[in-house]
Amino acid sequence: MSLATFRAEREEDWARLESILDRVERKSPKALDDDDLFALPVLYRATLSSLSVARATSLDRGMVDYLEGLSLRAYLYLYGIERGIGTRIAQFFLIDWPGAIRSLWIETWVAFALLAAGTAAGYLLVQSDPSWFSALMPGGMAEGRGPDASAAALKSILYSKDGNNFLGPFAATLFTHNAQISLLCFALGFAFGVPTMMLVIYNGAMLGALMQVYAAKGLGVQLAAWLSIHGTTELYAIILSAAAGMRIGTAIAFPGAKSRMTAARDAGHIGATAMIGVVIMLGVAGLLEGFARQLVNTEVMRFTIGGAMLVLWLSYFYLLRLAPRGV
Amino acid sequence: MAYKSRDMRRRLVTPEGVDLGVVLGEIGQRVSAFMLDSLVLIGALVVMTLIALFGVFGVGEAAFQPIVILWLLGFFVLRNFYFIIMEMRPRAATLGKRWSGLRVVARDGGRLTGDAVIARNLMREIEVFLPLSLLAGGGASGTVDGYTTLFGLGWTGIFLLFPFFNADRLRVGDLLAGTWVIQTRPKKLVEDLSVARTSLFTFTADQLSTYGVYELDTLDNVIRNSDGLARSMVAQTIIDRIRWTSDVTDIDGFLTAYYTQLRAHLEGGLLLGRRRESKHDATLSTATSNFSFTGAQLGVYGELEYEKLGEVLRMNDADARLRVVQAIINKIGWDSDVADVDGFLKSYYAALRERHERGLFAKHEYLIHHM
Repeated sequence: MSLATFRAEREEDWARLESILDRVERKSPKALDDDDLFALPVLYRATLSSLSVARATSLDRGMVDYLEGLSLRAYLYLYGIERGIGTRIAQFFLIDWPGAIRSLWIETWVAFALLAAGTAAGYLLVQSDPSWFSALMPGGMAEGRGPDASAAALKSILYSKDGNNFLGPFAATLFTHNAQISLLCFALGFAFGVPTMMLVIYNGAMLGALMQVYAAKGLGVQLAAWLSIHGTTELYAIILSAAAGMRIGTAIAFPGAKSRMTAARDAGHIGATAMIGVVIMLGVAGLLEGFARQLVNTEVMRFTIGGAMLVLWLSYFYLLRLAPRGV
Repeated sequence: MAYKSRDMRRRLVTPEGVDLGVVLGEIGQRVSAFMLDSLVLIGALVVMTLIALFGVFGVGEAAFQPIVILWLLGFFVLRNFYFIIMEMRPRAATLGKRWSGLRVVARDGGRLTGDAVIARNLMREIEVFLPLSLLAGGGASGTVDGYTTLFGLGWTGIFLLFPFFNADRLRVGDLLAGTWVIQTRPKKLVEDLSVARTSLFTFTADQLSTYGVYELDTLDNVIRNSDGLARSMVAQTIIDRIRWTSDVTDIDGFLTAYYTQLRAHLEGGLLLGRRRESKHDATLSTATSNFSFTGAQLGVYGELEYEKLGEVLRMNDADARLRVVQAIINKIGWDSDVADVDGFLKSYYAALRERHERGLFAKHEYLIHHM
């Protein structure tokens, strides 16, 4: 039985490859000594060659299945996964994230225009008829602010220090809520971007409605300062998430020269990178909103912080242009 | 053995040029994996909440604030990053996927990058969480009327049911990430059934020519996994089919012996590039033979004549066959009568082939051992 000896002669190598894979999959390449580490690619190739021979000459179903599975595991470990989390993180912050944002520049402008249009619409609607305010603003988010509220009441919200005991959880709530909305905004892009655009316009309209209420009482500048401290970061992040969503939607609707699948995959990769960045930005915005806004109470300081954050983001995304190393 | 279903097999060619033939995960596995992951998430959430509650009651007022922050962030991370972090690890599978025998790979066979994993999992937002929040929101607040909720669910249902509508079982997330979900294979090398045991049964070539690879695999499965009743039924079927005449008391021994010899027989064919898929796969050499030839009678012709004979047999030309039979009879000095012309030709063809192949076989054996 020559084929049985074929198996018997090689079984030991297969078992060794299997045990090496068991160890590296559970821990890391560091779990291997030098011998095993050098043996891994050699054993992988030997197993592939065994598989080829077995497929051509053997009808031992169990053995062929086993070899296919083992080769696949080894292949995926050697070729199919990324490692080196440290370099990955560095690459993300230095190259991938700013790069993804830069490549979304058209969508970013469109999202910005939609947000501005929504804001203007919200402002004008509430100006023409104050009852629009309650239609645009869900009860929970209005927090007592409205066309009927007194100037003093509105002002007190801008300079309140009541929340001091609860600032931390407040910031965390703001962050998780906003991040979840932005992730949804991105994911909705899959429906050709339409729901994403609607969400952006609606967010703009809420912002516009709020601004009108304050502006009507002569508190426009104060509100702008109050919003800007975290708003430059937060609104920018929301614009970017919408831009990433729209990139997906347009890639699926109009793939251009690429196949639809390729276009969707490329857009998905850029979008995902941008979205991780958006979550980080919203974390920063949450901290600014939860802490800095309640602790800093002068307009000048609020504008300064908000402006500085915007300049920081813009120069990070558009001025930091490192060439990727290697590939 | 679901993983054998051919339509779920996809090519994955390694840089060494071997097609590993990945098998895509079935819908059932995908659903069960997701259910398991949901249970894991809910379980983790319950544990986290219990710890938070104990913390508040144990430490008191001072710990309240940090615990609330940790809980909020923990919930966010769990919901959004459980899938991402698990799939970025070397096994590229969440716990549910691992338990269901699945893993994520890049569709092009290349590296599964971090952004691909992130892209495929962020899309769960519209596949799962959006319909859930619609259900919860519509039910709880009562502000949204039934039709609106229904419309919303129908719309999100398109994303949820996306995998049912494409052959590759891609989720919306898979589509965007350029990934797909494949089955991991059974891990252990099973015992070789044909490891030489002293066998009381010996089968003739005719008896082994009855079946093909499909029946061999089935027999393998029966011997490994079936109960005694099924085994004896299969043994009876084989006995009837191959016209085995003596008594069989040791059913397992009989099946194993037949498996071993059938496999050796079929593998012999494989070495010559001849793969008999099933019992319906007719080959010229399987005709039962009423003629036997001596070595000298077979040595008259070479490979060229053998090929020609094959062509004649495949052609539907009775005159040509008659002429060829006459030529062969004259050449090899056949002295008895030949009434069955086709039977004679097929027998001679089969015998000739066996003789040639034995020579080739020896060469192949040599190659295998010296590779």
